[in-house]
Amino acid sequence: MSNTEGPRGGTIRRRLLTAFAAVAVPPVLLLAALVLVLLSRSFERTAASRLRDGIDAVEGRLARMEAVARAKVAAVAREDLAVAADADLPGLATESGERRDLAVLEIVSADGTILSSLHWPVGFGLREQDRTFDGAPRFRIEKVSEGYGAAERLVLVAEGPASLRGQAVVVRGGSFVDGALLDELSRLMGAEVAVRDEAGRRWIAADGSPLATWTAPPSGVDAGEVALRGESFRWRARPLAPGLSLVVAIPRSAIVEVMGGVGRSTLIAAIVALAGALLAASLLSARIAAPVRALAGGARRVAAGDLAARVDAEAPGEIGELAVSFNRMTEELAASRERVLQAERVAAWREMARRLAHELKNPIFPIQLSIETLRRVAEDDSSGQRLADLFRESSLTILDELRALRKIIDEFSQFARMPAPQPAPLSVNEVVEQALRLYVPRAGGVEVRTDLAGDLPLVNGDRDLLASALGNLVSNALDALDGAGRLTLRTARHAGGVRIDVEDTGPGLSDEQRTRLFTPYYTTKRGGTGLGLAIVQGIVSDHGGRVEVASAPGQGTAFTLFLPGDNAGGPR
Amino acid sequence: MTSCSARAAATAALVVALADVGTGALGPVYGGRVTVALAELPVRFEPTPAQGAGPRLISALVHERLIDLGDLVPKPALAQSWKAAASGREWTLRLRAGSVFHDGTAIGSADAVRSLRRFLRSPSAAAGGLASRVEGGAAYRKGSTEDLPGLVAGDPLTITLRLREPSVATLSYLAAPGAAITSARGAGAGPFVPTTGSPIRGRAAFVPFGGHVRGRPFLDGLTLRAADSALDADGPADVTPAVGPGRLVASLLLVLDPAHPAFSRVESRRDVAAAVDRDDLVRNFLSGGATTTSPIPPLLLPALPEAGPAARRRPVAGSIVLAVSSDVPAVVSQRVVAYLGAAGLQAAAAEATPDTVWTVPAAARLVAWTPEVPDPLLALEELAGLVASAGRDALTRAGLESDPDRREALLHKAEAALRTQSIVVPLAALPLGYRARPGVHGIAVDAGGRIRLEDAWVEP
Repeated sequence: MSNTEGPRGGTIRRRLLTAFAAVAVPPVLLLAALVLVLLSRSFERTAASRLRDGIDAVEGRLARMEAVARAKVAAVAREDLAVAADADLPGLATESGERRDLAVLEIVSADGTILSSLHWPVGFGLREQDRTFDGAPRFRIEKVSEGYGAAERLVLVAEGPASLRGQAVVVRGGSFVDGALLDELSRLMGAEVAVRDEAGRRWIAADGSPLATWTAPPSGVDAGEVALRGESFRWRARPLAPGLSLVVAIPRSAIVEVMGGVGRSTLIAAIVALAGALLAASLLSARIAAPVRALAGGARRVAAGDLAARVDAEAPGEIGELAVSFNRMTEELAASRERVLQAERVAAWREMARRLAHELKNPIFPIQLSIETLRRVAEDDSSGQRLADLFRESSLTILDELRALRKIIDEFSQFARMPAPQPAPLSVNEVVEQALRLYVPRAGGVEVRTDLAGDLPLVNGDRDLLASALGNLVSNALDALDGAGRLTLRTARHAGGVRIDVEDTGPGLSDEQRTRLFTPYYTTKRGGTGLGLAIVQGIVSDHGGRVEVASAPGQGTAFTLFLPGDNAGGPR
Repeated sequence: MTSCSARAAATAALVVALADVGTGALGPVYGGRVTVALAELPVRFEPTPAQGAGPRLISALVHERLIDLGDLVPKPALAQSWKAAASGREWTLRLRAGSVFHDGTAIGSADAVRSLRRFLRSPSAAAGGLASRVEGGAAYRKGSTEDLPGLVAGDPLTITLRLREPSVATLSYLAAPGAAITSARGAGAGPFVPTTGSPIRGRAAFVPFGGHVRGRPFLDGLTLRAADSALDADGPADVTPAVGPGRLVASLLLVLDPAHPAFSRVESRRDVAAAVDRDDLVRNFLSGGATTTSPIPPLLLPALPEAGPAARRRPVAGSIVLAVSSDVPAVVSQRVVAYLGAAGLQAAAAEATPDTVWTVPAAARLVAWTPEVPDPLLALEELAGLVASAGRDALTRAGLESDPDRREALLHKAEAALRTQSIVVPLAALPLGYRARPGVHGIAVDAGGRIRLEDAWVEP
């Protein structure tokens, strides 16, 4: 809203926009929040379901692996060991395991001595060094040959009794639960799958699995969230055996990404709706406020005297009727003022004719009387002595009246030929002092006081014209004081400019005199032309200022000139 | 093998005489090429202490020393003869006249002195032993002086070694791989001339050296390459070094660090030593190997029966890092780890090269150790230096003892002192051998564990 729109138009538009926003924004935001909350809950439920399904799927896979291992172990016990009487015992497990496609196979005596091992061939003849889990014999941590030593690997096995060379043995076979298997399961399920070995304080996971970086998973908690490698995961765990847990985790990045997408879409929709509402509100408010602003502007122009101001009357409804009424009003005001002006012009002409006739009549009558007297005496006076005396006296009278006539003509001429101001920055106090220097010698018994402010701004004006105007006021005051009383000249700051007060303690003016004071040719002084104050008003007005007068009968008269400062305009 | 011409004449006679029999029965013939695959190929051809099969083979191919100790008895090599004087404190060696380096320059006493001076400052244990005995050798080895009065060239073909005290092992020191004689430009005098540059980058090629002191090898060409490229475009390798069957020239040692808390007490070290069933290890995993109680190969010093009752197998506990030399067969190492695990000691095996296995941070080391020089005194000195063990006094006296029986008794005493603290636990005598494809003959492994190809030949 620009400053030119005026306070009322701006307020209306702002209020309308605020009202629209208040109506449009909360529902949009509420809807967006509702959508996000509902979607979030939906995703969380889906994630929880995926985790449960993932754990079920892994357990199902392990169960199938166990069933397969059980069948193969039974075949080894039933078929391979029966014909192994002469076989090389240490290599028996290797040969049988490769034939049965088993990754893990060992034949163990009743006292726990390894007789043959596929995955730890060097272990034969030694006691088992594996770690077992109470209540879950299908899981074991087995020694496995690796490099120059051995590694411990989690295996899923089935075992069964068998007979080797008449000796009771245990056949144990199965698969590794290792990174390769967990990598395969992870890929199948699109989740991270790992096994936590609490006793070994280690993870069994695919290479690069973020779960392997989880240093301290909480014990006794079966689900939660964890940040790994800067990413948040939702996880669920289920015990496979005491101290052995299956953990499935899905990154929240997918959920966060979808939620972010939905959130962004909702936000964009909200912004679009909001922008649309605000645009509509703006257009509507502009449509409503524009005629009001036009009316306000028209009113300001009328107040400034521009009665030609009109407003666009195309607005609908009451605003349009108001605009039509305003235009009609200004038209009538203009017509009325024209009529007043015409009347005033006629009155002014009449007044001027009356004053002119009156002013001219006064000197003409003595001239006429002197000339008639001269003619009569010339006809009757034969000696001529009386005529000569009378001629000398009458000619002086005629010259005086002719001088009066010239003065009248000069003043009219000055009024008619008021020069344009030649502005320059000047000090008002200096102008006051210049005027006083001319008129104080005439003061006689009048007490002249000055009260000039020291911090006045400069005024952009014509020094001679302003001194003339001020001198006019001082002259009028001295005339009014008639040699007694007090004349005060005061200057002061006023609204960025200067005010000059010229006060006298004279008889004052009646209301009728005060109202007609600036009318040309109106005067209360004998011999006055009535143009002095009109000239003062013209000069001050030409400097962008104004003249005020305060007076009452018996209480003196005070004229105040208001002049704008140097930077606030100047003579027009 | 005496000379090239004699060998050629014999071969020709055999060819004529046995023209109607199978090719393999003809005997050595010239020609043919052999490719040898090594687990680790050394980087350079320069003489080194030669730990590991690769450096030992390079040493045997490229370089020649004054003395050859391949069959445990000092034999002439670049030195044609020698004599001792001053009650064994002065040894004069006369070089073979007319012998040349690969670059064609004649071999003279100045070359021998220069090469031995380089050897005395090398990290070789044998160099340390020799330096401690040669006049001015200790100060020279430390680098505090360039004077070495104990080693001088008499004439262009004679050098003299002056010792501070008599030593029966003087010639053995000169048989160390690092004591090879090279020309001023670094050329060797071994049976094969390298035709590829140094450093070696996965492959090295050689041609026979016609000027070799023992005559020109039969082969026309020889290639060494790293084992991981054994099946490259040239096809499978003809010869591959391997543990067993072969001569028992190496020892499988378990070396325990007494500074580690798990092995700080001698009792705990003995418990660990007892955890390894050596008979089972040799029987099931070391074909051609032998159970031994001595840390040095039985070829050098026969092991004495272990005195006293066998140690009880008591449980041990803890977790350690076991550095394993890459020339130890993996199954052997795995079995040793299994023994330790059965006793309660969790050992994480970490592979190391034969050169670094003695120095990498580890509480224990499993090493296939071949002495630098196949001499019992030098072998015991080398081992004592490696593990900073006791028994040096007996070794010193053994070095001075000229009587063979008393000398052997002193060596056994020193060896027993080495074993007493159970810092070095001998597990087995390792056979070092090779696998060769059919049709490749004449390959030998000498007492220093070096594969010798100078007599190798290929059926045409």
